[in-house]
Amino acid sequence: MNRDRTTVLEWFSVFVVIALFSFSCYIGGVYAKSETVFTKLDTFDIPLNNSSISFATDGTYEKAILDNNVWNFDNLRFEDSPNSEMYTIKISAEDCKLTITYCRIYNSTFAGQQAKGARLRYTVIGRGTQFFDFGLDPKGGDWGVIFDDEYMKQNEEWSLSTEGTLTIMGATENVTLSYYGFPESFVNTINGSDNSILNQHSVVIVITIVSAIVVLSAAVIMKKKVEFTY
Amino acid sequence: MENSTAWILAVYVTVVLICTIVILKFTKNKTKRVSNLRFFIQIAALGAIFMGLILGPFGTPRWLPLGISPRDRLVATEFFGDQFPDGLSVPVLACYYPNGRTVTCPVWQIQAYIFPFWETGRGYDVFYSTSGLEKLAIVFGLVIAMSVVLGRFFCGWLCPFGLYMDVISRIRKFFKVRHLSLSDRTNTALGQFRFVLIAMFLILSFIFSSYAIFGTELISGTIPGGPLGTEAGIVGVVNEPFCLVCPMRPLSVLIECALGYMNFSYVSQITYEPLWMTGFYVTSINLTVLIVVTILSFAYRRFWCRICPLGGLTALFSSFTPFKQIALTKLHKNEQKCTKCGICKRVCPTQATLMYEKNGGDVTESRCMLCVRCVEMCPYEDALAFKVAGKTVMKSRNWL
Repeated sequence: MNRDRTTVLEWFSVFVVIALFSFSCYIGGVYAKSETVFTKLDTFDIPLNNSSISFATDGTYEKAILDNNVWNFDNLRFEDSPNSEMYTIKISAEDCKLTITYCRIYNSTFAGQQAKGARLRYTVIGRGTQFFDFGLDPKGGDWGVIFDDEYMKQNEEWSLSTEGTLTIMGATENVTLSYYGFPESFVNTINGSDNSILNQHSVVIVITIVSAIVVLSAAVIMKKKVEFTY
Repeated sequence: MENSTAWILAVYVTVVLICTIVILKFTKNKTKRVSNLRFFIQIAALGAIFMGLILGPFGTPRWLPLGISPRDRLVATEFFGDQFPDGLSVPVLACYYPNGRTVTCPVWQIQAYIFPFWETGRGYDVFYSTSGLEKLAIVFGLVIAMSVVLGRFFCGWLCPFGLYMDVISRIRKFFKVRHLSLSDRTNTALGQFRFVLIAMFLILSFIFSSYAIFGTELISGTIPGGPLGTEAGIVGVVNEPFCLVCPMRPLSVLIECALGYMNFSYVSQITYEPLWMTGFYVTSINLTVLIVVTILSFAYRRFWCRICPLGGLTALFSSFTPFKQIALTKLHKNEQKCTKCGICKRVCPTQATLMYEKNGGDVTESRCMLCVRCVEMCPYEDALAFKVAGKTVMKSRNWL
């Protein structure tokens, strides 16, 4: 009996150790993500493009990699952003220095449905070109680009690639980029994910059928009533 | 549907049913039973049309500038989706502009889908995946189906503006002031004017949408534009020309502001030039029309119903050939039992005279709003009847 108790205790100890180890790995995993802090004084240079990027507020990021003259930021957070908001964006520039003064990419509701939105403001020194990729569906919303309170025309002062990269040309001081996302159901419709004629026009088809049935039924009822009367 | 919404609706329907039974059972005066029921149904319909003011949600950030209550709580949104997001078209003046509505005025929809949304995918706070033509087909399909089934029953029993005029009539009766009557000629002319109004606002809407339809502006400033692609200069605010003059808009908006459901400072802030338009929700024109109609409704019963274009639209699909032959809701006259006493003509709120003049059979008149006051007041048993699908629902009784 003593041997049985020992065996049970041994197995129990093993189980507890394994459980604790697993638990600590999980907990450790949460904190295993590294966050790099940056300040207003830090610059992200793009030497080959004669440009640099900086931020007007302090913050953190998980990764910031310069790849092919484009800075790729993963899980970028600003000091004044809501805790839950982290951004994965790509920024590049040519022949200018830009300072990001405000950035938010958020979920909001529009007309009762969820839709994405984004705002990014920056100041630029030097008449160069800036590139932004927010990771947003280019067909999923409308873009607005404002230079010093004036909306700029697409394909003149700015352009949007099919992959969703915004290219800003000719900005000299303050720029605001705005993204007004469409609700998902609308995006699905314009992207043709619900392609069949029946699905796209189901309401008018159903209403037409119902109206026709109502009119025909009424005609039949009234005809029978007239026949019955005579 | 959230649990609370289902509960509120269940309680609402139960209360309406119980009150209906109570009114029918306990109203001793036979000449007032149906009138009382109709008045109650009108109030219940008002509650149903603006059920969003009861259901909420309240105070959501999106709607706060407009007021604490939701912009709308539309019926069958999942079925209609982006194809038809403005709400079920019901032929009553369920004005588009106040908060909390559950259905939508077809007149607004017809105008809105002609201009500026002929092809535009975006409207005021909604997205459209269908063209204006398709949406118009849906509106007309719904109006035709409802008109064939119930005709101007909507006007007599469900329209909120009809309730407003009936309240005015009851106030007048309370002060024992006798109503006035228009001459037959004037009344007939007003009835025909309804169709002129329909034609006018349709033509105006087409003129304003000329750029979208034909690629040419017939009136300068009618190219859609603006942040949502819907505004077009000064014409952006007249793209629903009938809504500029409809008295239901200022009535519903001002009542909601007074009750705290809409923010009056927001309503009054949106103003446009020229001077004859003081605002967007409430303009000088529709406020004037409301005041004039209110005064005239005090003197003449259901004055607005005599010129209402929505009533005219409903009448087109229920009271005129070929729809007249198949309309399911009708009045009927038994010629043998009629003594031509003239009571039906005297009690009719819209001075519809066909019931008196016709010798017998089904009586379908475009001015008749199926309030069945004539059937209720006719003192001769079975002389008049109210029939639905050929079955008698109500008939005149000897109450003398």
